Amino acid sequence: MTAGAGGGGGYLHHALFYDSPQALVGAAGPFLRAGLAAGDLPVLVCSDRNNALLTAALRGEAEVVVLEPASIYTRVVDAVDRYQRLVRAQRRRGTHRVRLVGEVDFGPPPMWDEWTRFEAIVNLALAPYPLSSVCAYDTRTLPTPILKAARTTHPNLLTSAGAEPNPGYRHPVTVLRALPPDPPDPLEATPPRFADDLTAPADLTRLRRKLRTALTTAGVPTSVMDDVVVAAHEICTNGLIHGRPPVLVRVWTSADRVHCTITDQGTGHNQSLAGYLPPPTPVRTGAGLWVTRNLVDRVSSTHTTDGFVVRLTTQALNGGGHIQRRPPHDSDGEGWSPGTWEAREG
Amino acid sequence: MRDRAGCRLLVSGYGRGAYGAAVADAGRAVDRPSWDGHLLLLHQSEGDRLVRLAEWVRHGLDGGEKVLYADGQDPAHSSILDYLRGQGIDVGAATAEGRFELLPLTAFYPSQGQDVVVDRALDEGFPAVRLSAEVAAALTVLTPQAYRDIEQNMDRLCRTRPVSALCQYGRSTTVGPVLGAAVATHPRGVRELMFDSTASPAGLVLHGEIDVDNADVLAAVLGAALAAALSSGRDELRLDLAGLGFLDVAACRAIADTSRVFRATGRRLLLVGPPPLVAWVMGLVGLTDAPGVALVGSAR
Repeated sequence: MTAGAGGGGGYLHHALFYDSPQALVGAAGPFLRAGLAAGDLPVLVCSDRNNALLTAALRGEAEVVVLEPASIYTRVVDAVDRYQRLVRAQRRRGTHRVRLVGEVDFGPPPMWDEWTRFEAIVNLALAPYPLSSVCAYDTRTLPTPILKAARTTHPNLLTSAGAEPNPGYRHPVTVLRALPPDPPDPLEATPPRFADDLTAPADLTRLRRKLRTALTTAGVPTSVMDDVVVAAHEICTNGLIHGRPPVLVRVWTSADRVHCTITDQGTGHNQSLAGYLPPPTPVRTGAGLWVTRNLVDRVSSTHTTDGFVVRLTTQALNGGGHIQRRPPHDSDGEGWSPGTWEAREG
Repeated sequence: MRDRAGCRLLVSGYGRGAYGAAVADAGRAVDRPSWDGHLLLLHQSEGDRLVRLAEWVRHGLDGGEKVLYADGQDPAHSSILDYLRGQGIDVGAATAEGRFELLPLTAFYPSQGQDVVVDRALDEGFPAVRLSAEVAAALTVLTPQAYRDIEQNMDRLCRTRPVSALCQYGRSTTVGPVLGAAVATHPRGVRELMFDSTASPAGLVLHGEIDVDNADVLAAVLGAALAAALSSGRDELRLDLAGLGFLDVAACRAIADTSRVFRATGRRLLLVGPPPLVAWVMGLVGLTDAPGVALVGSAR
């Protein structure tokens, strides 16, 4: 697809549609073995069964890194980050290219579109990385919408005959624009636990203080509360500065989640990639949404007759259900950077 | 009553006054911002102004200092004496004993300059004196240039003699270049509603919360500190951040933008001891990885 920085070209992203274990091994096996011959490191991120099948297909010839999908596919930006760190870490150990076969964990139906976004975004976020990945799709078990979407998010297809370009591939912006915003959360039909209307930046301090109190009273774990307060602050700042006041904040809590709507009276934006990729350094505009996507599980925005509505949803389980904030620094040490990419939207 | 020589001896061991005012030991952040030294108070409202002014007065009276207050006689303001009394400060006794004095503007800003005002207070035997006025009131009797000269002189007094001053500026009118000029004459410390900035030997100590609403104040104090570092030949500026409870993306941007030229000369900006979430946000937006920026001693 694109030749990126880091020597030996950049990201090659394939979809593999299979309907039997033989079909999976028949296509992924040669892919992995060709990688071994080239000195690439094999990485497997499939179900236990498929990880075992593919490991066997390598006939014990090499070191294989095996990961659990559940440990990778938590939030979209975190999954991207984990793959970036994986490749950088292997580079530091002298690996020139990583060859990965994985199965995206699409989760429950409300998350399907979000992981389709992931599949689209990696084409940009991983472009400069020396990584060849194969996303394996079981056509017997996966729902049709997911299979259809997969045909638009992979520039290449892999079969037992090898890799070929995928005519169904669409640019990530096109894919994201075609996906609908999240529907209202059922909690929105109930009275909110917290409500505040902001008219100016000076109101942000009060918002943070009162929201902190409300979430603490609701028994939300401290780390989740801290994350939601920062996220709400940044979205409200966007609404006040780039949108139009008043900015209406409504927050609900339930046993398993915190849900917010933040509505401003402006026309919003249609930058569907906004916040999924880090803004170019040095720090410029657009970083607030990036920070927010790193703090809560789901951010979705839409235009309504009430204004521009941003919905934030995050798990609020007590006892460790909350996704740990990832470390901000990967002690790279080397000069090689992930590279920048320009994703321009019209 | 102590004589003047005695006062000086006492003052040299007096850690709370201007000599020790808000200056951290090298490498150690002050635990709380102090009310000593030459301070700029940015107030958002009359209520905010009075609350913090009362703390400043109480601190001075508790320390046995003489407190001088410029009476602007603004009919829109309630009596300062009534307010302080309402805060439990016995201004009646303080006034009777000469510890608290309301001065008309012409006496607070005599034509010979404020040194004589300070001299008189110290001659009365007080170990230290503190003065406060609203800028808006001062500008009814002084030109802006004359007021700037007074501020510069006050900064000298606070550095060299047992003097503190709280200069009250209205937030809504102190923006842009006016803010920059005001901050430049108060290198020791700025007290905004939600955060404080205090000078340290190697840079600044920040306490409180900084977001899009007050990031311009952060930019002003940081800009002034960087300019001072440049002109005194220092290669590094240290920002002590352990006292920051909140720092948003806009504030990170203010730090990055304000320090860009300084860092482009090869000099360094040290971000010292930020709490975990602050450090995390700074990392996520690329501030800690920016050229010339170093994160030192992370989370508690």
